[in-house]
Amino acid sequence: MNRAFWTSITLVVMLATISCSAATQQNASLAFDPGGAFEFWVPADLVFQRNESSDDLLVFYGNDEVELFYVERLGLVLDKDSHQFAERTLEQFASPHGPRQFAVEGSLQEIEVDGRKGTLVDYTFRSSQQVDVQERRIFVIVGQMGYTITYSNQKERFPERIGVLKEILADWRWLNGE
Amino acid sequence: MVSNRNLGRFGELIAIIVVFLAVSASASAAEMAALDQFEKSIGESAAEELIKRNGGEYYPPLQQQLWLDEIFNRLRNVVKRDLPYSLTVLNTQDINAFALPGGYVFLTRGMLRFLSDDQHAMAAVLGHELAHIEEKHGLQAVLRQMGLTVLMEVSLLWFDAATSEDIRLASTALVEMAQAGWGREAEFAADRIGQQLAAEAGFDPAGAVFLQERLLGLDQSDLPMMLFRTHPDTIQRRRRCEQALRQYWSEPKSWQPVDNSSLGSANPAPHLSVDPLGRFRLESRPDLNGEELLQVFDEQNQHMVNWFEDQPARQPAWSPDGRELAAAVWSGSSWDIWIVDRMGRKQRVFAYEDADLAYPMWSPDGRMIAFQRTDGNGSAVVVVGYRHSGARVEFSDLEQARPWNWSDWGLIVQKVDSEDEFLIVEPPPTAEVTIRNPVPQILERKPRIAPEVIKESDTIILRRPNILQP
Repeated sequence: MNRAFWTSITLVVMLATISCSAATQQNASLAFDPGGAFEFWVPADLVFQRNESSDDLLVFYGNDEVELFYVERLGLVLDKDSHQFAERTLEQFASPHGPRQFAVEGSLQEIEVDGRKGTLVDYTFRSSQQVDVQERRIFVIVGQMGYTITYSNQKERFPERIGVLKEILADWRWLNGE
Repeated sequence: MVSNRNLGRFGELIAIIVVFLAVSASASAAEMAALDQFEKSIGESAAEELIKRNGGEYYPPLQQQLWLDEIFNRLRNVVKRDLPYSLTVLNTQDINAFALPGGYVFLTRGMLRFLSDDQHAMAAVLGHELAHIEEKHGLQAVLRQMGLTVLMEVSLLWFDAATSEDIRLASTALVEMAQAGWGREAEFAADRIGQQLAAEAGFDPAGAVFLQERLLGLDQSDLPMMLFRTHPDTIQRRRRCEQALRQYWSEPKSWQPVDNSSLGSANPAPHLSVDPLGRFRLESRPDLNGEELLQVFDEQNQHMVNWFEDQPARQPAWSPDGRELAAAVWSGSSWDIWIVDRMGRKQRVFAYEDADLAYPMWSPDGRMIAFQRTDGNGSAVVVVGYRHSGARVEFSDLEQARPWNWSDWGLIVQKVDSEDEFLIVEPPPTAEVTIRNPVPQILERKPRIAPEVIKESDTIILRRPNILQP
């Protein structure tokens, strides 16, 4: 199936779910992975970006000019666990090919996402729009498939808005039994 | 006074010269290693100078670098020489690429941007540069240019008696020559071998044609003068690369349908032909002269649309993604193959002055289209054209044949004079670039480009937002 088809399906499912699930999750909508690996509730202040999304990438914009939430499926990764996956990624981000002024904030932390082990890391960088951005990224490997769940905002706004990510992770569900 | 030690060196030097002059086919492993070491030394020294002269090194964004690395690594896996091949992107907007002896390949930032959407054309560029190194064009050129004097000095270096000044002089000459090209015949050879390397690495050898076409499409002022001054005529290079394409397809083999059901028509009858996205229906109706006219009905707006400029059209075939329709269209003097998009805009026309074209047939991935070309003598051959390029592969060995079906096995053609005789020919296998151990992206929101709307009494002002260029 092509990308447009799957993104359309995701959008339709999300919109349909908004109307029928209002009683259980006020002002939230349910997002499905087009590949069927996960689902999560999207807070009302995040808006799905169809044109930015694909089969392997779900993108949501927040309220201001920078706030962003996205989930990426990378396909098969060769790392033995999420920690190695995170370390390898950070090494690449810190290379000259990564974003400007990239810096890891704190250390890598273990986290559980719906019962699966993941690795969480915060980092900062200077965006192409010259904004200092802070991101929190969670690395998870499910059946050798690498996933990252990322919340991004201006550095100053990050601490007050990071609760959005916690809210999303609280109701995150992996759908396959691998 | 000449010492015994120097006499010994002189003997070894003579041996090296013999190796150079005899192009070293029968040279010993040790002599070859010495040559390779010399090549690496001058290449290494020249590389620094070349980077300096071209704006320094540029570090592409991570995902683009991974893409480029993957293409380069696939090519590196099929080269024959055991060299520490490296690829450096130069921080200049010029559209160019270079190779230096010893395994140094350079691509400009301008070239990277120019070809960032076409893995096959990029493989053609890198394959071309690797071919220069494989064929030792740089080494041969520097030796020709500087003659045996330098050869002797360099050889002395290997026997511990020369200074780094010798290498510096040789490498300076090398930088000049690398930027000027290695000569006409070397460029033709690099095109041919680079195309072969690209095909062996799983890229479409037609990428070399795409590349030349894109260069031809550039405004001449966009190209650095050196590319025009030193490289052979681009039109001639394009033609040579195109002529070589047939050799990458398999020889035609006899093919038998598994059962009668597999003999179904590949292009459905026009009256049944609805586009894969379900909006346009094709209808075939005879005109006043009895000529079959293909018409397109827009189901959404419930009216006929004119996609063929009122010309008779036949044998329609939708591209697998439903975005384009191919058909044989009467041009007034011959039948051509038109490809139109879903707005009816002509995207590409395949035409020959002295031949009629018929039976367009898409490849399963939609990148190519096969059709039959019949000349004035009734001789029919199969031609494969590319959707996004003028590249064509002429199958003069598939005479009196027409495309019948194109599946994942290959292009199946039917002999015109025999309903049940089929041949199959397989295209060169290609593989998309996939990153072996992928790295996630860092996304940024796209800047808002909608204008700011300001209402002042009965006036509405649209203010363009400020957008910072990355």
